[in-house]
Amino acid sequence: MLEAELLVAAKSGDRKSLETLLMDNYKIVFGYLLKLSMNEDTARDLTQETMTKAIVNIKNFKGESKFATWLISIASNLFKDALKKKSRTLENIDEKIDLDAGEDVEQTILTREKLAILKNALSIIPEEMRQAFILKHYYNYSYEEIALILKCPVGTVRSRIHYSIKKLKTVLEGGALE
Amino acid sequence: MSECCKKYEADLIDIYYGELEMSDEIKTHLEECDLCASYLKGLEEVKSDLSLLDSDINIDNIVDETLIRKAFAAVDKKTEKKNRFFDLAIFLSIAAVIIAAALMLAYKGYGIYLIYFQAAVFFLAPIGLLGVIKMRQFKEGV
Repeated sequence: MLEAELLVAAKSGDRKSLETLLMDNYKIVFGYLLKLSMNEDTARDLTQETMTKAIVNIKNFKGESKFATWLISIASNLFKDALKKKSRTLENIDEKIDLDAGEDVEQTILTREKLAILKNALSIIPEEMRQAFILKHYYNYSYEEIALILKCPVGTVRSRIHYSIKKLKTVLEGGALE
Repeated sequence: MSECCKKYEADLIDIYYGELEMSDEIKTHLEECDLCASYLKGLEEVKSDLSLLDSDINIDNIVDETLIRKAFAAVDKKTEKKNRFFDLAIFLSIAAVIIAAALMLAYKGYGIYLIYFQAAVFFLAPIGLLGVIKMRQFKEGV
């Protein structure tokens, strides 16, 4: 069944269709929250909260954007709220997620080192800038779409993305973390 | 990067993210300026480094299908709680109306009729119930 058909059924109260839609978009939401929070437990909790909010508000979804975009928008707001409430900081996910970097031990160590630098680099970027950057870099949303998701002007989105990529570029090219 | 090239920096990021078309002016500049050309190349290298995070986060292994069911269960619980609260509110409203009506009648001096009505209900209700049971038995052919 197409997303549009599933949406019509879900909005008219069909639980199975809504479950299918949420299942189809689970990875996008969870991956986004995992990249944003860098913590599996936080990402899991927020994914469940996102799904719950989507179930409650499915009738309010107007279909102006893709269902995934709507979910990402809910997840972004929940992440912001979570940060405000609990002042959650980035935690290292190295212990929780195994790296599958092939057989070469030397290469694995190098990749791990690079990954650690990358995570540190991402962690020093302020959350609101990181949100915009992740949406652009990993999900390829346009500046306009990101502005709608994060409820801020397009110019702000652009400057946040520029700041993030410049910062990451400097760090990954061997520059110091500030 | 020189001051002159810095003005192209922002445009190169937009081009890199597909938000801006590569203009002839920028193309010419890139051909002439090694620094800007290497800046764009650097962005490509950052892209490859950033893809490491995707390979690290292997979502397939950590998909929790019960999570969606839990979300539905949480919503069901909330709805049930809401419905219960709604039922209680209706019950309390009806009770308040009846009590207020009774008090009003008593205040107006019709208290004795209220007692008669209560007594009548007290005695007639069980008799009425017997009638209902008999009718039911008659219907069911017992």
